[in-house]
Amino acid sequence: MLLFRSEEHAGHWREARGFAGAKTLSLETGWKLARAWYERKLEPDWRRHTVDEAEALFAELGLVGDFWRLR
Amino acid sequence: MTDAATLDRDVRLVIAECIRDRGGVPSLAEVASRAAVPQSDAAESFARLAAARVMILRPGTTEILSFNPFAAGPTEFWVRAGGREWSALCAWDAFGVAAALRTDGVVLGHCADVCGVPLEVRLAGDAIGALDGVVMQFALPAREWWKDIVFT
Repeated sequence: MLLFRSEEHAGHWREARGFAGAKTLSLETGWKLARAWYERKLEPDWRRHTVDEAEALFAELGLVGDFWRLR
Repeated sequence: MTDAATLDRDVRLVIAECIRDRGGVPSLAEVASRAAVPQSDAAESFARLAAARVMILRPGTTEILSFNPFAAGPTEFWVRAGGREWSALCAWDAFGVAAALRTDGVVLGHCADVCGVPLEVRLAGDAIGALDGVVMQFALPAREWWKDIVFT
């Protein structure tokens, strides 16, 4: 996942690189996603999210649609 | 004799301990030493952990590229968090460094478009400080992320 100065710059990169289906998200959503995904990574009882859990997390953050499906 | 699942847990905890204690992703040799196991056993554990997507190995090696979100070497994304500097493979991981350390952080990167302008994102609790309009972008749909996780 990359950072872009603006939606316009992200769109230019999408077109230039041939990733028409790429999706942008706000920094706020990205921060929420990172916290939910990684905040337990260094803990002894950490485990990977299941597919169901990951998809539920995406949905909770408004990341819905085919792009965010894991299967 | 330690079973594979127990060894993998021990190895994972040793890696986490190295990250917390000295602020760096350890080498295979360091993990083997700290876990008090032969390097060959640690290497097999690394392979299992990579297959389970707990971490990413440098292609063709038994060394860690990233114990996500913590990258083992210089990257395009730097993070200041917890009084140390870190690197990450992508913006999500860069944010994840502060998340995993459960602290505030500053992410330093650049616009991936041709302008390449430096970008700084300050993460402080629920607050985010950055230039107006800065966004993240996933190039690939979620189901394809692990087909080429380094690119993702």
